[in-house]
Amino acid sequence: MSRITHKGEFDHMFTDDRDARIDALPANKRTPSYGRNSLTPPSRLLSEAEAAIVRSIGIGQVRRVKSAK
Amino acid sequence: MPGSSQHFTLFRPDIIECLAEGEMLSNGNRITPETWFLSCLAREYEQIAAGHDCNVKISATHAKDARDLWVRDRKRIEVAEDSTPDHFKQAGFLTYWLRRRLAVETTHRYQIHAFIEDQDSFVLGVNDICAFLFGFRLCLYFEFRELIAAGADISAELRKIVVEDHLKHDIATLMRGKNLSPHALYLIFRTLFYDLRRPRQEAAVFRIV
Repeated sequence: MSRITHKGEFDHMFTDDRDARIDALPANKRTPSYGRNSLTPPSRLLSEAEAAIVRSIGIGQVRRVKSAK
Repeated sequence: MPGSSQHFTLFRPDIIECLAEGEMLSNGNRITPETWFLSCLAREYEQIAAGHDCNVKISATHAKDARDLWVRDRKRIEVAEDSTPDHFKQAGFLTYWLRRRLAVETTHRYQIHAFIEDQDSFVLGVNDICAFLFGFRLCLYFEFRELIAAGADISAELRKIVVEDHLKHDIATLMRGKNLSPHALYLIFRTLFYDLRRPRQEAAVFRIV
């Protein structure tokens, strides 16, 4: 395993529980999160039901709605 | 000089950039963000623990998680196009994630502290206290650097400023029991340094909320 801190100066402070498979992942995959910031509208089209909820709460304008098939 | 533990201090003007983005050295080498963060974290946690006559072991994985989550949130809190979050807000989010990801794995007393109650409190809430004091020291530098006399050893001067034991214990208990949010921590840091006799001319909250 590679050093944890610069020149290994503080490595004695660590338990080396690193996993190479996790370290190889991009940052957004290493710390997965659920959902998205609910303060911003989703980029996808809303269904009619979702758009109705948004309108009833009044948190923003619904520009486009996915048409029901 | 990298390689000297003094290099990875919290008390430097570019500390937030170093923690988030690493550092390009004059010789062309680059210290990666993770290496910089872990070196600084280890240095500060070692000193905080030593102040309680304890030593700690940090989980490399959890500490890296905390950094990743803090970096992710840094982007989210930059809501106004012409502003960047101030040090209180940065410290609030960083403290939150360090505590939440439980960066400290184990704690040992290397001798019984003269103030045993304070040491007990530290051992029981090591992640809360270390994370809080890390954020506190970050704010301390930005708030007090102008007041330190030119030529004085700023690290030595700032380390003389300590958080009173009862306050430290109460904040740690709240962090653990009530899961204080990053915004709550931001307010705690901000109010700790707020001087009612000399309110700021500029309402900083409008710039960052």
